[in-house]
Amino acid sequence: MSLRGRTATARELLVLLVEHGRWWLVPLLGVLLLTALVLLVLHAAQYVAPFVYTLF
Amino acid sequence: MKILGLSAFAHDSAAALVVDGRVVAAIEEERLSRTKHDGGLPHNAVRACLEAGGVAMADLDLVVMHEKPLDKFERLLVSQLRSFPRSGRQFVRAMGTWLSDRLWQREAVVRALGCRTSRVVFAEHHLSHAASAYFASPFQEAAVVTVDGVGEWATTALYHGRGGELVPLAELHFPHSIGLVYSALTAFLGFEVNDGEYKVMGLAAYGQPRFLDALRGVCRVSPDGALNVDPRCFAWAHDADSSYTPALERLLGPARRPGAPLVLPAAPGSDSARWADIAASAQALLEGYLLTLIGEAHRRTGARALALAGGVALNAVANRKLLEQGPFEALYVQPAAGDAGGALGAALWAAHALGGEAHAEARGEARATAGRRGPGLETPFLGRACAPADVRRFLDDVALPYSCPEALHATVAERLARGQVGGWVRGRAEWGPRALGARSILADPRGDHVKDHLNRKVKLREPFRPFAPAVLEDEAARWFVPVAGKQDLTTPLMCSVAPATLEARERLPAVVHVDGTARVQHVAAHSDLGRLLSEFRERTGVGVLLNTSFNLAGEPMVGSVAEACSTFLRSELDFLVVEDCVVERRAS
Repeated sequence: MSLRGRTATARELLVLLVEHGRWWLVPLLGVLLLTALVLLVLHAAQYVAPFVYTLF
Repeated sequence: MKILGLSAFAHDSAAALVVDGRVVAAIEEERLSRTKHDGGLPHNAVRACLEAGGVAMADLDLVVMHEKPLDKFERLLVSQLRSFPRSGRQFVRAMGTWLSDRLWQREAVVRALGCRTSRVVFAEHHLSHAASAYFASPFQEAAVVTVDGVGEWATTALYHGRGGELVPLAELHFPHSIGLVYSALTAFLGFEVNDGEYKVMGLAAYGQPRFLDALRGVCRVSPDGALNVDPRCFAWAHDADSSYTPALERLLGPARRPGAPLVLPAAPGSDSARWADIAASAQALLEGYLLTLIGEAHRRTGARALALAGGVALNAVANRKLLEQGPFEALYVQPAAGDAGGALGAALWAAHALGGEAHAEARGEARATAGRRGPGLETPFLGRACAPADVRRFLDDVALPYSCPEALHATVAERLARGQVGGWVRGRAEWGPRALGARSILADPRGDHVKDHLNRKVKLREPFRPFAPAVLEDEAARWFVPVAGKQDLTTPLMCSVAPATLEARERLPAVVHVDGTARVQHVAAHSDLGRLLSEFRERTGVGVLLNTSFNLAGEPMVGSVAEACSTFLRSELDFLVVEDCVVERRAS
């Protein structure tokens, strides 16, 4: 899936949370999305996989 | 305007094609993928719908998803945080699924279907259900009630359908959900959630609702239809593995583990008797709640008709009570009332609310066009058909013996009257979980042994489950008691039960449940199944056939000639009809 498409969806989600008065979820969401991104990148680089297991 | 509705990324995925307000095709993915309750993106159903409508992917004006994933994700975050740290394990699992897959539905649809991003819009889950009920019904004005497990936040919703417009009136939000209570009790009784709810409904007839007061104590209902579920007994908000807690077992006794023997009728004081009583109590709780809810819907709308959808609307026993005891004069239930039906509703909603608007800018915003509505659901036969030439070619290829009698209906009626049981695959497949005479197993309902034979040897399922009758309209009242003075639009779709008359109880034991009711289907004499029923009546004096879905336990209903033949050969059916061919077993 394209990074552009995912960014647009993530932006929509942020707007929705703010509109619904749930802005306090934004930091949590930021951490989750960052984690997902890190995992996505590390998943692509198989040689670092053993280190990922120690982190998560 | 060509609109494709999709239900996906949960359970019971489906696609529906609506062209200029008319439903052209609607197909559940499980019928094509052969995975029961398939929850993936419905690639096969999409292809089949477009083929049926002669529409290319590029011609689609809109692709409408049946729910809003971002709102659902928001609910997940909020509800999991509320019950943290108990929800810790579920949170990790849920985030894994959502962040890797379910959050990015728009991109997944765009990639899979090759459509433009701007053509993909999202309708709310309960709005999709409501649209599937209202726009499929023949009513100009109706109270529309949707009840299921949970959508984004809503678990239950009331709408007022009027002049082609759906006005939202009230919603009940997660975690308070009568659908989830019924599902939790389904799991408590050892059945699979999202599949075994029918079994609870069937089992309820064997019990007494002696746990009703206990359940009412933990599921409190307000006069306005609000529900408050006690989180000490129900765990769906924070537990990924169990939907109930040990507190519920203290209230009702030990839960039944899946596969534990269920002996019915049960000996007094036995575990089986207690489980049947719990099922009866769950059913009574549900019916009581729904009656309160539709009372509120009637008070708010003043409408004379009620349209229902959502998985709970598949509870045929409750539907009868709603029409019989509720304030409405007419009742319609959309035949695919569960989540599959959301695909139809999403497409119908877009057809009515977005209409000819510039959809690229619409992006899911409703623009109601009052005073206009389509023709409704003109037929439930919206699936794929088997081309007769393909059928013969297939049967020749696999060397199964067959004949193509000119008087097909008379030939089949003769065999059924002799006590044989046959598969019946004719025309386009049904939309929804009920077999209505396109993908059916048919049998003579008069024999005592028929029900047991079908459950044990043909369908390979629990012996306590009842079978349904298909009856000619003109003699329905002879066998099954209608709701006096009310318009019951559920009967052609097999969506409600009716008490059997004394004559039916004596002469049609195979289709009368232990509580003296039957989930009846009224059939018009001019229809294909009606012709068969008429021939059967000429031979037996009875215009009724046992009609059950053509599948084995745990499998979806058959679709193609190959699936029909496979199921035929793995069961103890006596013969199989596919289009105009009567297939026999090989002599060996």
